Amino acid sequence: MKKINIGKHAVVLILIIFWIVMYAMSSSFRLGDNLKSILREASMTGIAALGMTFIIIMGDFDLSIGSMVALLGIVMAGFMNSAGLIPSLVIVCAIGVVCGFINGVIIAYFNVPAFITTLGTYYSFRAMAYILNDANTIICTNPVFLKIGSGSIGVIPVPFIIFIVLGVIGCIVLNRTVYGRNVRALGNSEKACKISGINTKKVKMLAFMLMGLCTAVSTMVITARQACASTDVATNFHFDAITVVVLGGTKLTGGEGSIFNTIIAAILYATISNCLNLYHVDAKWQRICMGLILLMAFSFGFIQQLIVKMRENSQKKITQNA
Amino acid sequence: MKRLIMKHSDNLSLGAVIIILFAVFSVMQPNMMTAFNIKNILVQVSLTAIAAAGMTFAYTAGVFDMSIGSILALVSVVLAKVATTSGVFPAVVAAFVIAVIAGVVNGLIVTKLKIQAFAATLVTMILIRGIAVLMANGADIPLYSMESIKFLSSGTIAGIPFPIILTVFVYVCSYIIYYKTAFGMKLRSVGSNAEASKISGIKTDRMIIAAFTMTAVTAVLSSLIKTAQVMFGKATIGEDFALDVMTTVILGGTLVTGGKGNLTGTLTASILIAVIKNGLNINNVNSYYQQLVIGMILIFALIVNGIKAMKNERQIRREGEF
Repeated sequence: MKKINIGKHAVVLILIIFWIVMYAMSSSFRLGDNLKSILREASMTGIAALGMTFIIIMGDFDLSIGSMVALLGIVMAGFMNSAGLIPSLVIVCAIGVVCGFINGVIIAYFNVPAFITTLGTYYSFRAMAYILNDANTIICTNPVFLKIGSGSIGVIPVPFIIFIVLGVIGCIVLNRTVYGRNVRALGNSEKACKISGINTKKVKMLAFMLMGLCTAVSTMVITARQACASTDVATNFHFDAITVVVLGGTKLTGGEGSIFNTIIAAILYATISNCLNLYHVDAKWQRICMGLILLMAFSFGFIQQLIVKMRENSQKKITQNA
Repeated sequence: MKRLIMKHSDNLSLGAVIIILFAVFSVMQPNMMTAFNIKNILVQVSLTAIAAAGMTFAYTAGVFDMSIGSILALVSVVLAKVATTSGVFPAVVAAFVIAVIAGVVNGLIVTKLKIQAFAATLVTMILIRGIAVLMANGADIPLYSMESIKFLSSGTIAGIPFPIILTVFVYVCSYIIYYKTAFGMKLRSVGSNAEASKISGIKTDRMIIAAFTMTAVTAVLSSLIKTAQVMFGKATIGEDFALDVMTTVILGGTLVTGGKGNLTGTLTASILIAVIKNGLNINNVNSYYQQLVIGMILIFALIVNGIKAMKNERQIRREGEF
């Protein structure tokens, strides 16, 4: 029983070891500003990864979130300069949910695989962002808004607080509500869900709307941190978010996963990319490194299975010998 | 006769759309109808059509390849590097070798590490693009005055452009392999029911690896044409290639869920998309709108595809009841 627990929370262990090693080795890693910036980076992908956790637990994917960030950012920045802060934040959340709704309806009600649908919206959303703004950049100057990205309360950066709050809510929704149970059940077996009377289509659609909402919040943080909204932002965002979720031990095949591990994995992922920067690794190599990390994370489940099988085999041999 | 029409209803309706669109565009812009432009469209068709033929095989086997655009780029870089140092023939050989390796690696990751095709090729997409950028060292490799490479895109045999001949050749070969060989039949059976195929003695893993390899090899042919068009070895080409190819295949009526491909549909769909792109281009429509239009077409095709799959399923269920 204990061993399984270690396997489940391997990310925590890796993160702790990684931090201790880096803390000892690198003097620039130890700087307070650097640690803060890691947490900021972690929240940017992490918030979207929270929504992605739901989607992947269901056994689906969303590739369109990077383009959604571009579209939402443009809309938000445009509105902020004319309509003020609060309305623009409300509008961005609403549009995020609508974007998720579009994805969700096509996927759930027309029985289309999620990855191809979101590949289509991946291109459409970004194209819309380009069209809306003619590929220009909108600068955000509202000081209160900029605090969302770069402010901090005490020593803790604001984005990280948002991340943790959303993480706790996500955790409660996933583990303590009927909806969360339905999501997990859907990932295990869609057929069984249908037979037992769960409205699978609605569950699926809601998860994609949730993803849209998380992306909207992510957009706020990203835009506030960069102090501008541009159409070329977050081109590899879907890739980062999926890596974080999978790194957190959520199974690709669905049915199993934890929000807590996603949060830890987001911090780990940000730490790794931070360290690659600290050691001046070339940007070309960084992408390859990230790709390899994702590949390792993907095959983690396979390796675990292999170990379990080997253990079973050896136990069988022991019992046979006895 | 009626049955013949019913059987080819997909292709016929696509054909009708092509004719209507072509007529509309011609009215809007008389330049559309010139022999030069039609030749242009057909060369444009060959670029996606060839790769789409390979992708149809992948879809049939129930997998697909997101990394195809990156393979396009890697092949372009390798081709240019080898061609400038040791001649065109070794370059083409090297290109094929590289592609076969990429395809086999994709297949091995999917079958041996048991990662879903989409996730695995998402990783290799990043990795292969990374390798291409590394090899090119961030610059384009010029291929000036290489007549034999230029021939690949603008050469003619008996007045017919070489890419068109290549496309016809690829489709004739694919058609024979797909419908007339044991391999094609096995591939279809793996796509429609992998478990049953395995039990009946088909080596499903090998089939999937073969499907990936075929996709990669057709991507090489596309890359040869593309590289010859731009006359550069470029690590940045083909960013949207996966979208174009997938849209083509799905619009052509190949089932996303595997088991049933439609090669003639793929060819017709690639003509349709080329006509749309060319028509928008010639009418001076911004390229962002083109991307949006292609994305919308993909989503539309997916919805049609989904409805068809649901009908199919219902029919199977009804037959099962009797």
